[in-house]
This record gives sequence, structure tokens and C-alpha cells, in this order.
Amino acid sequence: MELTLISLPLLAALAAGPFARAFGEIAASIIALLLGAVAAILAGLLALGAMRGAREPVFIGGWFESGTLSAEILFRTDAFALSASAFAAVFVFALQAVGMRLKTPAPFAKFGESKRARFQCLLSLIGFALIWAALSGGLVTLVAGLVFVAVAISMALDFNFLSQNAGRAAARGLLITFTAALLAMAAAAFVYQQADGDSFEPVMSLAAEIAAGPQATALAWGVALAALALAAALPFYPWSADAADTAPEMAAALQVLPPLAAILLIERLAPFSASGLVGPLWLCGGTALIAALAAATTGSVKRALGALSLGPVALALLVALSGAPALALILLAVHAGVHTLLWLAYGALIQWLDGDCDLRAMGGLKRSFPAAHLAAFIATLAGSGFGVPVIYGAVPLAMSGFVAQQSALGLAFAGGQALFGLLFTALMLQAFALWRLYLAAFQGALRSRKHLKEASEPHVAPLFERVAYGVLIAAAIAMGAAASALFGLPAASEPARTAPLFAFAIGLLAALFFAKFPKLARLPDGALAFYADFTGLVALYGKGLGAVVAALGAFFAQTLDRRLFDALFDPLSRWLLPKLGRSAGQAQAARGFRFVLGFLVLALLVVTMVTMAGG
Amino acid sequence: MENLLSILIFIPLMAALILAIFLRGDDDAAQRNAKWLAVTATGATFFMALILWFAFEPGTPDFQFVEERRWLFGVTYRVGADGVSLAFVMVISAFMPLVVIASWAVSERVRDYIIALLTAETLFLGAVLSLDLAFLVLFFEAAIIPLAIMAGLWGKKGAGIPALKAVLYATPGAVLMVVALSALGREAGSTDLTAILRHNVSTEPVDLLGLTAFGGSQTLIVLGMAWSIAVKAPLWPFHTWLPDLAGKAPLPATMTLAGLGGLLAVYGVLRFWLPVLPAGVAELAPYMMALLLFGLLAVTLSALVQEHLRRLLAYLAAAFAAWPILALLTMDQRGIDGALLLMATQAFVLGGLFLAAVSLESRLRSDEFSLMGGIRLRSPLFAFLLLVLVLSAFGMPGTGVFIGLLLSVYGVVSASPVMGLLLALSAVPLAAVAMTLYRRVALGDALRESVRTLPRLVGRERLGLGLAAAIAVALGVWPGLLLDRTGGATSDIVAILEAAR
Repeated sequence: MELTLISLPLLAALAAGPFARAFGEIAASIIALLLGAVAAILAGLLALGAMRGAREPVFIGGWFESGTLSAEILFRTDAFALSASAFAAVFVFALQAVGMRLKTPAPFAKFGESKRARFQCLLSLIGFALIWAALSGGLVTLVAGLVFVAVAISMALDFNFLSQNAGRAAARGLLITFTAALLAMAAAAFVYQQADGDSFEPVMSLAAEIAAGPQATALAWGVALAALALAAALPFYPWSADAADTAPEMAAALQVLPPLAAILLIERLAPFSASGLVGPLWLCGGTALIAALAAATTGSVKRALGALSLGPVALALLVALSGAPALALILLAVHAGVHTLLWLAYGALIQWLDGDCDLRAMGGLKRSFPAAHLAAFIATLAGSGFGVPVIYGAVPLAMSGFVAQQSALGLAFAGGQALFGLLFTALMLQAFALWRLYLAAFQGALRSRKHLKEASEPHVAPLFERVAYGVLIAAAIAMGAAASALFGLPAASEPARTAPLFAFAIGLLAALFFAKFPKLARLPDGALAFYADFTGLVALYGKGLGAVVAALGAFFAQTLDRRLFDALFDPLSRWLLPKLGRSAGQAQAARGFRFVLGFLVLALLVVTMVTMAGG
Repeated sequence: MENLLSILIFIPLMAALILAIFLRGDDDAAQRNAKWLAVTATGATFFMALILWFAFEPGTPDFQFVEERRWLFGVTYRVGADGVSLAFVMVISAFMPLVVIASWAVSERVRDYIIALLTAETLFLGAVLSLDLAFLVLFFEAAIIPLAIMAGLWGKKGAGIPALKAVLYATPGAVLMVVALSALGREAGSTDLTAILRHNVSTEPVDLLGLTAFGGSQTLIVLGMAWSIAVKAPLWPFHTWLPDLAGKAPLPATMTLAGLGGLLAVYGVLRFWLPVLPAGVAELAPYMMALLLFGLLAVTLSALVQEHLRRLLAYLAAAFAAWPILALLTMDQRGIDGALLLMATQAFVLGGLFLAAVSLESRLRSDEFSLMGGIRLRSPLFAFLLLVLVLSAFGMPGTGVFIGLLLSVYGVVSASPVMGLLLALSAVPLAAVAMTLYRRVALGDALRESVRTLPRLVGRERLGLGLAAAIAVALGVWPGLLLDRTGGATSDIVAILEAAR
């Protein structure tokens, strides 16, 4: 069953990728979608089955052996692994369904290019890599899965492949995520060397003995930095900004699926370095705070959504690093639902504005975009942590974000009041950013002159978009009620029980205040420009790193290679060549060539004959 | 078959001789005949290699199919194959048909060109199958001569200078190699490789020019061989001949030098340094690894600023060369297995990338990146195969390079976790180069005018590129294909290394 589950997205990727032209665009996309649906159903059933009780790992076969290393294709069947794979399969399928609306621009359709099929292929590839990584039962297969995820992300960043910028974004994304995966490879090699085994079953039992002191700290930082880079959290943010610039469907996938890989990495490798995790925990907390600050100050909707994605991801990673990967998975699931809603809703507005992401061009769009408005409102409510810390029967009266934040804050409080305070501030700013976005885009008066006429008519969302909205809205509400019952969330400690509600209220009030006094809202833009667009970081990766690479490359290729290393042989060959007869003309050289070659052939012929004759 | 290895080695040379004696003129018919004879000879060699592959008994470290004939001047012609040499034979014999495919566009003095190519194949095969030092060094050092001649005579205007520079770079290495192997033979009292492999070379510290060489003769012999190995690979800072040569020489010649030159270097390390001179290597390994890692960074950075595809590929080849040597210097079973996988996969990845360059250049009449871009739209199959090769270049899971890199990291981490980390991260600059290559060739804001009417791939190009990509993937999905055959020999090397420790 597990092998089938892994194979389905791979088959989907093949159908919509290399074989898309053979099948035809529509058929290839539908095949991929159907395979995605089957994978999602199968993964869901397996996950539900695993919650009733874990089975033995499934051994498929040996992969390769070298020395004491024996890499096996072994699949985990525990609840976490199967829940993670179900999460990946279901989310990929949901986006596959939404992605069916994509159309290829006319100039490129004549080349047989299909944006829709390409989307299905790339998404299926990411799904395959994530399910592989989730189910991997050994270090080698985990690393293979993570490296595959990194490469698949890069290919997805190249979704708008017609743009040279997309190509650069893909390269930048690859460098960051690939570095992360390679860090994971080095960490896995270290764990393997200490435990002398590849399969997780016996290795995990030795977790406490693997590393101590500086080794544990180094391992913890390695794992944490790899996870942050895979999840596009600070300071590895720039590729997330690139992801935000692609189509909203792909952007949603790239904001949610890579962090799942990061959680898988942490779940497997962080236990080996438990004593060194304090620093990485603070890094995650700081990331959440800076991300929220950025979201609260930027004027670009896409950038705000990208930054709003960072906060919950950092929170999920913090929770995973604290030893609660299942809770991190729930946080990520909530984040996935909320942010897909946000991307779809604000994506509709951006599309209407011909790709303009400027928040100042929006406003008053509530009546014109009723479906998008409802989706954005519910997502904002859920994301900003709306809920009442009261349990009615066994069901909390809260939305998904509230429950998730409650659990995360509870875990942070156990780690210290300072960390709790940091996270609370981050959540407050996040709530403010979400409400600011909502109020600026949907409330108030119409601001766009360009599209004023069209905006006066309601935009009717297509059926599949409304279905997607409906499912996600239901999930955003239901997850709050069902998460505790389904996944057995830990009861939050006292300050954490009410904290999300305070963060929500303060964020909403602040957003209303700045909406009322917009001049005041402009003040932070200049002061916090660095955070707003991560100008410093983007420039560092984009121009700064590029300039350093160009300067070093020129130094090595020109100064060292040409002036130093070639200083002897280049002039010598220039001096010698005429003397060897090259300048006398091609014919003479040809004779020289024949002479040398004839000599070689004859010499070797003699060898052959003498050899064959027996000496 | 009693003479299997000799037949395997000399088939290409026999074909070259047939061409030299019987083929006259340079008209279309003669050119066609010469090319088809090259296809037949390289195909037959590969077929014989397959026979050897299936007849080979895995799991034993001994040399098999040994042939021994006393020869002139007391020298003995002795050839044999163990798991290690078998792997190299397979790569060489499978690589050369790709070179012939890449050479299809050659249209001047085709007969001489093919003779040079086939002679080079015999020399490469002879180098990895010889069991006598005299023959081994002859084949080993002569292998690049026909290719340098090809580069000089069939290249662009001014190709003679880089061709000569390549020979000049190689010459001191060849001299030092002869001296080092002579010293080795004298120390072991025999030129027989099997005897040398059983001999313990002295590790007593030696004073030389006021300096003490720890590791004794072993260290000195390793240093003596180092120049030749570094030039052939080519390793930084001995690599500068390759980009210059690549810029002017016919691409198939560069392809062979880059693809198989590195292979000879790996063979030298695996055949001599590890099993015969372990103490010397252990003394020098940390310095060499540091130099290799720095060199890898230097050549990849150099690659990133190139504006010509040929030069970028040459720098990529220099970066590739560092990895297997680094893996071997881990002196660990996993590192050695990793190096073999890297060596085999990288040869085909490079071969495929050079083939792609040949296809592009034959259509665009230039290798400037400024004329490329957007090819993905015009030729999706080409772009797909190029993408597979590019992803293979830096270690996409499912390709041999990934397993090779992983094994190398696993191998080195037990000795030094920091070195393991650096080795793993060394894939990052390679990824940057590979992605830059793909971006500039296949992607772009729009289809450039120069590629708008580009002819699509023809059958032989599809075959060549497809084969190269398929082999790179096959070695990643099923590494046992190679490692099962080489296991006996590499285990033996590891046993020697452990005994030396």
C-alpha cells in the first residue's frame, strides 16, 4: 500500500510531464488529477488506520550496500509518518484541483506548451518527494527524499520558466534549499557513524547517546538551519519572496509544502541533539517576530502574504524543535488551510488588478468580490486566532488558529517566559497584519481608478474556486473544534489559554485604529523598510552575492588562471609552436601528424603481434 | 576466451590500422566509411566489454583473464582485470561510441581523425588493464597524445597553442610518473603489479634537501605521481589547459579528454596510491583534501563567469574531477565505492553535456550564451534530456552522483565531521554552475531569434543524449549494477588500508 501511495504522484508527474504531449494537455492534466485524488484518498485511509495502531515497517528491498552501510527501502507506518504523507497528498490534490483553471498564454501554446500540465507535473513531483521523505524508514532514504524536495522546489520556482527572473529565482531557491538538504545529509552521516546503523527503528533508541556537548550543539544548529532554509524562514527568506512572485496556486504550494519537509527533518534528526536546541528555538521565535513585523509594514499584498506565511512556519518549526512534531503538523495544517484561502482570495484581487500587488490600489472591494471577501474574512479570523477559551462539552469554541496558537504558546511557556513573550508579540503583530490587509483591501471606499467600472459589478468566482473556498473555510472552522479530539492536543497552561484571544483583540484594534488614521499608518513604512521588504536580505542574496561571485570568479579565471598558473606554459607553447612547424602550414602539420600517429600505430602493432605470437 | 583482454584492447587499434591501410581519399563515401568503421569498432569493443562483464566472477579481489607474454628487452606484456579495472573498462568502452556520435559532424580528413580517436581508445583501455608497470605507464601517459593532436589539427584557428600547452603541462608529469613508478618497481623488485600490490613500500622517514618526508618512500612516490594525476584529472591549479583547449579544440576531443582524463586520474589513485602507498597518502590526505575543496570552489566560481558554453563545460569538468579524488582520499570503503560511482556517472554526464554542446554549436555556429536561451520551447526533448544531465551533475537523488556523494560524505565523516560537512556542501557551487548552464541555454524571457528556427534533434543525437542520461539515472537507481562487480577488489583495498593503519 505504501509503495502504491509513493508511486501514484510519481506516475502523475510522469503523465503530466514527459508524456504530456503524447497524452494531450487536457488528458494529461486529468490523469494527474485523478492519480492525485487516489493518492489523497489512500493516504487518508492509511493515516486513519495508523491512528488506531501502528503496524510493522514495510520492507520493500535493499537499495545498495557499501562497507557497513546497508541502505534499504523501508517504509514507516506509524501515525506521524502516515499523517504527514496524508497531509502532503491531500494538500497537493487540493491545489491540483484549483490549478486546473490555469491557461497557457497564447504565444506559447502554439509550441505545445501547457501551463496546466506543467503545474500538475511539478506539484506531483513535490508530493512524491514529500511522501517519500515522510515514509522513509532510514537515514539514507530520508536524505534522498529531502534532496529531492529541494530540487523539486527549485523546479517549481521555475514555473514561469519564460521569465529570466524565474530562472534566477529557481537557481537561488535551489542554492538555499539544496544547501539545507546537504546539511541534512552531513547530519545524517554523523548520526549514522555514531549509531552504526541506517534504519530508524534501532537508531532512534540510541538518540540520547548520539551527541553531547559541542557536538550536540553543532548537530542541533545544523538541523535547525537546514529546516529553516527548507522552510524559507529567516535568514533564508529570499526564495520565499521569489515563490510569492509566481502564480498564486504555485505560491500557495511553495509556502506550505517545503515546511513539511522541514518538520520531517526535525522530527527525525533533532532528537539526536536535544541538549543543543535552545539557540535554534530562539532563532525560530525571532523569525516569527520579524516576519510579523514585515507583514505589518509592507505595502505589497504578495510580500505581506509571503511574510505572513513565515510566522506560522517559524512557530511550527519551534514546536517541532521542542519535541512535539505532531503538534507542528497540526499548526502547519492550519496554516495551509488559512493561507491557501488568503492566497486564493487576494490572488483574485491581484488578477483583477492585472498583477498589481500594491495595497494602495485596493480598497472597498467587499461588494465586488463577495466570495473572495468571505474567504479572506474567515481566513483572517482563523489566522489571527479568534476564539473563546471556553470548552462547550468536548468542543472548544474557537477557530483553528486559536487552538493551534494556544498549544504552541503553551509549549513556549514551558520553555521560559521570555520565549512566551516573544511569541505573544509575534502573534499580536501577525493578527494586526492580517486585519490591516483585510481592511485595506475590502473595506472603505473604492480606490482603483483604473478598474473602477469593472469593480462596480460583482465578480462571480468559478464553481471549483467556490468549492475550494468552501472546503477550506469548513476546515478553518472545524480544525479548531476537531483538532483536540482528533490529535489529542496537550492542554494549554494558564497564560497560554487566553493569550491568543488577547493577541487577536489587540491586533484587530490596532488595525482599526490605523485604518481610521491612515496617515499614522504610513509612518512605520519608512522606518521599517528593511523589514518590510527584507530589502537587505534580498539585495544580499540577489546583488550582493552575485557581485561577490562575479568578482571571485573573475579573480580565479583571469588573475590566477591566466596570469599566474599560465605564466610559464602559455608563453612557452607560443614560443615553441612555430618551431614545431605549425606555422609552416596545415599540410606540413598534417604530415607531422601522420608521422607521429604512424609511429604510435606501428609501435602498438608490434606490441600486438608480439603479444599474440606468445612473446 | 584466452585472449579476451588483448582482443578488447586492440580492436580499436586494428580498426585504425584498417583505415590507415585501406581507406583512401576524403570524399563523402570515404568519410562515411570511416565513421561507420568507428561505430563498428567502438561498438564491438563495448560488446567485448559486456562479455567480460558477464564472464567476470564478482566477489574476488584477484585479477581475472590474466594474459602474460614475455616480450622484448625483458619486459613482460601482462594484462588482467579485477573489479576496479572492470568498472573503468565498462565506462571507457561505453563512452567512446558517444564520442563517435559527437564526431559525426567532422568533415575534414575524417580518416585521420578517426584513427586518432580509435588509437586513444586502445591507449585508455590498455592503461586500465595493464599489469606491468612499463606498459601501464606507456598507455597511461600516451593516452592524451592522440587527443592533443586532434585538438591541434581539427580545432579552430589558433588551436595549436592550447594543444601544445596541454602536452607541455603533461610532460613534466609524465617524466615524474616514470621516475616514481621506476622507484616503486625498484623498491618492490618487480614491475609486476600483482607483486607490487603485495609489497610493503618503506614508510621510514626520509631526509631530502634538508626536509624530512614522513611516510618515507611512500610519500615521495605519491608526490611524484601527483603532477601527472592532477593534470589528467584536471585538478586546480593544473587545470588551465582544459578551458583554453575546450575553447578551440573540436568538442569530441575535449569531451574525451575531460571525460576519460579524469577517469585515468581516479584509476591512478585507486590502483597505486591507496593499496600500494597508504601511509604516504595518509600523510598528505588532509592537505590534498583542503586543496581539492578550495580548488573545487575556485573552478566553480570561474565557471560561473564564463560567457561561452565550451569554457563553462571545461571548468565543470575540472570541478567534477575533484569529487572522486576527494572521495578516495577518505580511505574508506564507502568513499571508494562513492568514487567509483562518481567517476562512472560523471563521465556520462560530461559526455552528455558535451554532446548537447555539439548539437547546439552545429546549429548556432557559436557557443556564446548570448545566442542561446528559450531552447526549451523550440526543442522540449533536448531541454528535458539536458535537465536530466544537469540535475545528475550535482547529485539529484536517483542519479549515480547522489549515491556517490552520499557515500563519500558517509566515508569521511567518521574521520572528520567537519570535512564531511564541507564535502557535502561542495555540491552547492556545482549546483550553481549546472543550473546556470541550464538557465542560459534552455530558459529565457522569450525565444531568441537565433533559436527560433533551430532544427530539432536528429536520431543519433537523441540516442547519444538519451543513453548518457539513462546511464546516469540507472547508476543512481541501481548502484549495485556497478558496486556488486567492484566489491571484491575494493574490499581488498580497504583491507590493505586497515592493515596499514
